[in-house]
Amino acid sequence: MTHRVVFLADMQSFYASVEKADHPPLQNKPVIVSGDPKRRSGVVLAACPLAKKWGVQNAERLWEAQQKCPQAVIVRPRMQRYLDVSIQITNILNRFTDLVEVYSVDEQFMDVTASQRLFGDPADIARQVQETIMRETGVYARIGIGPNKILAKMACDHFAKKNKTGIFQLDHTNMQRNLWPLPVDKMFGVGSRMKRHFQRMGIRTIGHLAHFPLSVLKKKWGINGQVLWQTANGIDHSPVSVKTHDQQKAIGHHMTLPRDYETYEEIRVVLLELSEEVARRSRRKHYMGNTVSVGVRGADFEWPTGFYRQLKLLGPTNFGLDIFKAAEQLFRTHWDGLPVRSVGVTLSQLQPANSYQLSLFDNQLKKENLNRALDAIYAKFGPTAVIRAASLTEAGQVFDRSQKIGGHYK
Amino acid sequence: MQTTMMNPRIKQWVINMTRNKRIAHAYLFVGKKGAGKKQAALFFAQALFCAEKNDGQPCGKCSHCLRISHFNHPDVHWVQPEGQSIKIEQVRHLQKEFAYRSMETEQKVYVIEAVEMMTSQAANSLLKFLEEPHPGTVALLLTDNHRELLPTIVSRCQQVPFPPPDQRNLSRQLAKAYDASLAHLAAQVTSIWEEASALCQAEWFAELKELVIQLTEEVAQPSNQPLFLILDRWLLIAPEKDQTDVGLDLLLFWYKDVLYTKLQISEALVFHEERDRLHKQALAWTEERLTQGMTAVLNAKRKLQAHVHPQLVLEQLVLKLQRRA
Amino acid sequence: MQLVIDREYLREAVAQADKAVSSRTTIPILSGILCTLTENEFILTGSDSDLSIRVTIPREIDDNKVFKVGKLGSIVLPAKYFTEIVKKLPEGQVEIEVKDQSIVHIRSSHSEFQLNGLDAQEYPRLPYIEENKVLTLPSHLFKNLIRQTSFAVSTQESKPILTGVHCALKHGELKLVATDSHRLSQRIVKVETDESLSFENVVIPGKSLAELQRILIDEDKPIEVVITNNQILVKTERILFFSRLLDGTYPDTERIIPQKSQAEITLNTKSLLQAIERASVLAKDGKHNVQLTSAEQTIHISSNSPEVGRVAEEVHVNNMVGDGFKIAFNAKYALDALRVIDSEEVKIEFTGSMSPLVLRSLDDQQLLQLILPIRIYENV
Repeated sequence: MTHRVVFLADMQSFYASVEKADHPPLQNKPVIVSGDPKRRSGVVLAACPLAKKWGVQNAERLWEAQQKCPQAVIVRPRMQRYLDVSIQITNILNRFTDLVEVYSVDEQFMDVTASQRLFGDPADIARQVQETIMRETGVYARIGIGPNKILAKMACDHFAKKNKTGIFQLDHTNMQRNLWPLPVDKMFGVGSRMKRHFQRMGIRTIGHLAHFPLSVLKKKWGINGQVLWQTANGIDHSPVSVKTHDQQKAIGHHMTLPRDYETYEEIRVVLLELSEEVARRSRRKHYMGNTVSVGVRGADFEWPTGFYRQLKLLGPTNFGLDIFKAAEQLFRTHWDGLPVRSVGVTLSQLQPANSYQLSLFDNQLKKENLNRALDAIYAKFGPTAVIRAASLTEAGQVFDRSQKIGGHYK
Repeated sequence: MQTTMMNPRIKQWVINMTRNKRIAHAYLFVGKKGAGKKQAALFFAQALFCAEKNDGQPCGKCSHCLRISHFNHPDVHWVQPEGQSIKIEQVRHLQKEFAYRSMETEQKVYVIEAVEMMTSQAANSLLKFLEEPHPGTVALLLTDNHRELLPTIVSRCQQVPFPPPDQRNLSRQLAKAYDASLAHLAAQVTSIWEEASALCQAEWFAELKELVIQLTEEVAQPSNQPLFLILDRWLLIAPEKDQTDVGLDLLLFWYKDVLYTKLQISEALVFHEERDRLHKQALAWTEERLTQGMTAVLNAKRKLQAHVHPQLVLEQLVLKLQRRA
Repeated sequence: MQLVIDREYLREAVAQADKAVSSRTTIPILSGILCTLTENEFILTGSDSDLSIRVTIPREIDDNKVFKVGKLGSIVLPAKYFTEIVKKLPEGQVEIEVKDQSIVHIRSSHSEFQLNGLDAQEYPRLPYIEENKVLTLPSHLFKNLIRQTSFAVSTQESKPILTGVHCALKHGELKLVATDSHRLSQRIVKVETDESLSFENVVIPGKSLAELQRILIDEDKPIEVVITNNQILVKTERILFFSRLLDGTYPDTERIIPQKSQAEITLNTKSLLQAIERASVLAKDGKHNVQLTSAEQTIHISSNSPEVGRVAEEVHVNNMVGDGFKIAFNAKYALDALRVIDSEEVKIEFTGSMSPLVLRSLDDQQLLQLILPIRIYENV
């Protein structure tokens, strides 16, 4: 069996790069992509390398970033555009191999093991991928190369992002020299808590972890301990699977409210809107779900409140009111009465919508017809063509949301 | 030992209501520990089931009355928290009971003690019942802290406030057996005889009282060192969460006393034997800062209830108090 | 209370009554067994408040004296210890005597136990039989009625009323219905009873019926059934069985049962059962979806799990009326239904792709099973 060759392609400052590519006059200016400063979401979503030189960081408050780099051009995010470019990039990668896994909007795995005869050795392919992406989208891609996903990822994060070519190969021959001296918290999967645990055990570098007795780690953290040990030793058998994108586990919607909602009646309106939205998206993707969950975060930072709870339904559904009924019950049960800053509704335990068990006491035919009529109207006239009367109250967010993707303007 | 007498007003209310048969489906008995809520619930159930009532008052001797007071009546269900919460097992039982008809009579009574200790899951099944009451079924929910209850539960019950228990009487009774100043203090912390007398006998309680006063004196000082020595001692002699809670109560009473001293209200002092020290502190505090300090203590109590570690709660509190002092 | 009783009769009766006792009762007195001695009977009662079992030992069985009465009375004995003691006692005579302060002495030839009893006054009062409200039917018939319906009750606590079997009596017809909302089973039988006797919305917990089914003997002897406001009583020769009823209104199932069909087929029950059993071998993740397609002289049964494989079965049809049809359903529901249809042939009525499939026994058209299909979209 030939050795696998896996790439992780990471797009540098993805949102900002897309903006620069789309607006040539911005090319040599520091660019910050940030949410609507009037709403709470006024944080830096992406900063181009020029802006980063001034100390601007992702996820910091916009006003702080502006203090550091007053000449920066602030651009509103266009999420739809970024998704489109991301898909465009997937299509480019697909020219090199049919095994492409979308890991996030700006990171994609690809397995090029079988592509080498057509396109050359791994470094060659990486260069071609990098050039093609740059030529067609204007985005600079850094590529980590490894014998599996975990090494490709670490090759990219720790080396390709930092060297001149933007390409780095990490495998079992150079792992000891390059990867093992790094501090243990640089390793994928190790957070600050784990770092503390490790330090107490005398594990300071990735190499220390790789040499630590596996049995002890397994005893302490079970399967998770084993995974971390394998990561440190560059062992990862998971395939680059095309499916991760298709086989969705859950469909959810979450929103930060424009102001803190204090009454049950107001939050109910938002729950209803979120439920309808989740139902609509489930139908578009031909799913039904068996479990509804609701997440709520309170408004007071000093005294963090909120909950995340789920409820199993009697049978699968993609009907808005069914989801709402469950969401409402969850909320009513778990809400502590304090003001709410953000709410989310999720439908999970999905199954294909093309077959489901009928019930004696539930008029599913009627729901199906209603759904079909609604979806036809949405398809023709847009998501606000039919709304619930409650959305016309002050609490309603439907109109505002229809302008956005992922909470940001399209 | 029957330590608290039934409040005559509550008693009359129960008699009137059962006599007129105008009974709501759920009542929330709200009152401090020792206010007699449990007794009232027993009385309520007896008044509903008693076959030989005399002028509206249950006989206390018939088979219904006797079995109710022994918790053996099959149509009167008692739920008491086991430890820190009302457990899933108990909730399942409750849920099942909601689904069944009664066993012997045409009515059912549920009594849930310390209802604020219900897990949210438990509260949910209760809520379902409260929303779709069954005829002939009455729920009596007992709580000493209805602010911790879900508002949806509170709003679906008729609230019955219980007057606080008679502290002076309790304190007088305790003083016959124990040190008078401790007795006075214990009667403020709890109104249940058993608990109060246990406090009077506990060495940690006496020492904690002194520690609390020392603490209030040290927070005014610039150095941290003695403060943390006090806290160490505190956690050593009173390692349990409930003990720290008592300590925080004492602290609260102390600041209230300082405030009263400042306002020259002297008759209601809890630490009335410490007038000199109270006076001295009263000069150092402003009224506004005192109320802020008391709020900080209340917040600390809340965090303790939310399972924050006592040491953390105390250290945080002390730092806050220092800033106020 | 004082009596001397043959150990074997006592052991058997205590074991029966103990079946109803739960170790996790919330009512303290129910941890015990109630013993009541009358002039002619020694009665043992166990209960967990949901169901209660009362066993009667007559003073004489087949002219043999079973016990000798010393002093009438009653007492509650802790079930856990009482059952153990009685089990371990040597064969022969046992004396049970209650002395002052509820101390109970249990003596046999060589041993003596003392147990602390509880006041019988504390024990729940169980309903008694009113003679004019009695429904009489053969033991095996009632046992069968339970077997043929109760498997379809719901196990989901979110709709508690569906966890029971609905029982109604009108014009001398006794009807039992159970449904979990995906399938329904129903049987109606004629019973000999006073025409004026009727009841409805009597919902017996499925759990109680499972216990009752074990107690009832497959024999011709009559049993008596009485419905009170809260409970159902079933009386066999020695045992009186009580179960609390479920509270709430049972849904109207009459309107769910289809009156017309688009097609009807008759086929051998066993062949169909076995074909579906085989077809469900490939079922994955507890989803036993099978498809049934009718053809001229046969029906095809098939199942398809993309990851595992597919299976096709053919069953000969004895008789067919109406149009051809195609339907998918959960194999488990079909198997459950076919297992309680005892006739050699079964009739299947197709009533539409989104309406119930009806299965009837050919011997007894009043035994019917409904199965809701699985909705399949062809075009998605």
